[in-house]
Amino acid sequence: MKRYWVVAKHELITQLRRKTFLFFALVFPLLMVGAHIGIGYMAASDAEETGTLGIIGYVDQSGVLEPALEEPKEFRPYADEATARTALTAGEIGAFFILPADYFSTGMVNAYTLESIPGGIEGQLRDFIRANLLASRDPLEAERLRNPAEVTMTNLDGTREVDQDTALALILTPIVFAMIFGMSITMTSSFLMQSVAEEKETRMVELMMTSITPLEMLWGKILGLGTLGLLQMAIWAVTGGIVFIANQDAGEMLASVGLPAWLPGVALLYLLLGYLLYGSLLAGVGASSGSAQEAQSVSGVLSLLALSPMFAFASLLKDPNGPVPLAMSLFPFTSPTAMIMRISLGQVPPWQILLSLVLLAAGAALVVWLAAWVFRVGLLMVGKRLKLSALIQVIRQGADQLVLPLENSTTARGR
Amino acid sequence: MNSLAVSSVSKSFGATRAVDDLSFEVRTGEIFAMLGPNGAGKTTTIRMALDILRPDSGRIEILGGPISQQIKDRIGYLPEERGLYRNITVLDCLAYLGTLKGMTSRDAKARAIELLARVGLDDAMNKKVSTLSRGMQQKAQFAATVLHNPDLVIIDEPFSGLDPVNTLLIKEMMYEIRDKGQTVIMSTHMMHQVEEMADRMLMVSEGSKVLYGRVEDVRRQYASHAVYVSGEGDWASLPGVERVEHDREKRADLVCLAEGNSTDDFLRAAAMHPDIHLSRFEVALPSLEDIFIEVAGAPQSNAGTGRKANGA
Repeated sequence: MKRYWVVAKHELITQLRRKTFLFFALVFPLLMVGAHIGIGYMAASDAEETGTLGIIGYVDQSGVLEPALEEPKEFRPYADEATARTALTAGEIGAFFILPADYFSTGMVNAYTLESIPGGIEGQLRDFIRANLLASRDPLEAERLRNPAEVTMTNLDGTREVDQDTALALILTPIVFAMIFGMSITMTSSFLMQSVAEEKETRMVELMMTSITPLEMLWGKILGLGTLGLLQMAIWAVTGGIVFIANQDAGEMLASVGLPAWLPGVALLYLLLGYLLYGSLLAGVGASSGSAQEAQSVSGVLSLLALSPMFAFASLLKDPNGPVPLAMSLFPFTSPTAMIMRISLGQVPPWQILLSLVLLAAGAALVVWLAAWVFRVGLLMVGKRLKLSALIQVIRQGADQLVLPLENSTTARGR
Repeated sequence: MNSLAVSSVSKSFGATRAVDDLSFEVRTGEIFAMLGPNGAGKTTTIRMALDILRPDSGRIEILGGPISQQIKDRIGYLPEERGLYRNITVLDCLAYLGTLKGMTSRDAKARAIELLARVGLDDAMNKKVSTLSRGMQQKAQFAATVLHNPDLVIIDEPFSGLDPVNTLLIKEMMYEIRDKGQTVIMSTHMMHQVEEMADRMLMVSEGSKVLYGRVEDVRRQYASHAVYVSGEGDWASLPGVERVEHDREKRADLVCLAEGNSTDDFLRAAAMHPDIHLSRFEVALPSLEDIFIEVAGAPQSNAGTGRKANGA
């Protein structure tokens, strides 16, 4: 087995056992499912619940409800108020409505109950009355009166049609995608950085360097923690999938946004390259900083950079192909999040996606190369920050020339 | 056969010359000690031998050739600045380090269990490293160093932070390694350990070799012109005696001899003298500590030439 696989395996297993991973991988989706169930329950209780009232009586003195079309199954007609009242006091029914003789001119309905009447029952009554009022009309006209405006929105480049229900999804999808992307990349990268900083803090690194090369260590960590990140994404995707399957509305909503079928493939590419870029960048930060804490503050700033396209959402929504979104989706440090937002908002010319991927790959390669230099120099400087001047010196002179601070760190620690 | 051969190696950090034209050899199957004051270049030399640093000039051969991955796998190194991963169990940590040296996961684990039992950490095996005391961590680190049964063990300051009992344990294990025909290089400034353990030694100061060879030979080379004696009689009355001091620690008299008189001459004279009864006779070899202070304390140009008896 290649040594970097040994490192990768160790990193993966160690992180899997950590509570932080369990938290993000499991608690987050559980919250998602929980929230979904909660919202569904609340919605149900608000609009559909007919309560525990049981049978609902009604007395029609106006003649509107003749011949009682589309009568809800819990509804039962009573001849007059007295029989209905008797039934209510006897507990046969939970409530009853009276449509007075002058209902047609006043629209007034009286309700009688011993408890309160849930909103869902009133809704049922309205639908019931509406169906009977429209019975004499032409069916088409009746349908229009029930539902006068079915709004369909078309986005600006005319590529996608969205009806009222999915307009929200159209706005939410890019945000959700960008968030999952940005968070996944920056979180995995910061795991990587911590793991590198830990090598320095625990003073394991000098020992490691007599077993493996710095580059093997870097690759091992990138591979191991990258796998961890993918695993995490997979867990999120599966829970997300379950939620959408469980909730047909949400599923239909997502389907109606009309995302291209090749999106998952391209998204995976952006995810991997984005992680390679940020991962090796933060690994370099971890190797060159004095302590894990110090590295943490730098990583915070870099995470903001990765998530910055979300702050430019307004301009993205206004014109997904405008200059700012275009620039952001080409610049390697923002392109993974920015491009995924653009693709989910509208049509992106293929050459732009291709160019952005090439730039991202080139950027990632450059940063990996730089990180390898930094690794060689920065790792051994335990408890010290790598100075930029030292790095430049090393790059000029070649990797074999390790610089001053190394010896300083030894003597400074004393014996 | 040599386990390490360093020839004319120099290394500078900026304007500082850390190692200056250093040459020495470590023979297979010996305990070799590197001695020297702080900043003398011991750690830098070790790091160059292990390819952590590259020398500016000179040649290093380790275990029979230039360093490679295969050779690295046959070396166990315990750096001066050492630690272990804190958030995993001792056993996992050792097993991981073993697999990084090319062992299979199963072998590494089995060997780790065996070694942890040997250093008395069998109960702590499944505890997280961070819960171990400093002394326990030191022992675990030593176990990690020899886990893959290396042909060459390099330890920087092997006994720092260890109590006497654990020092003895580690010492025994180091002897065992040598007795198996493997090589131990230790860098230290604890002279009495070197006197006791090392077969050969190298003392460096300011990057240069000042003393090198068998420990016995080095001490003899620095032997003072003096003897320790016990018995009855007036030592000062013997020929060639310059002065006599009493050494309380040794419970003996230190007899310093004048130039041109050998210790053998003194012994002969003492034996022949009717009024003197000798019950103890010992040539006063200086401790390495004395030599160390003399050599390291003296200016570079005089080191190695200015030798003088140092009684107490």
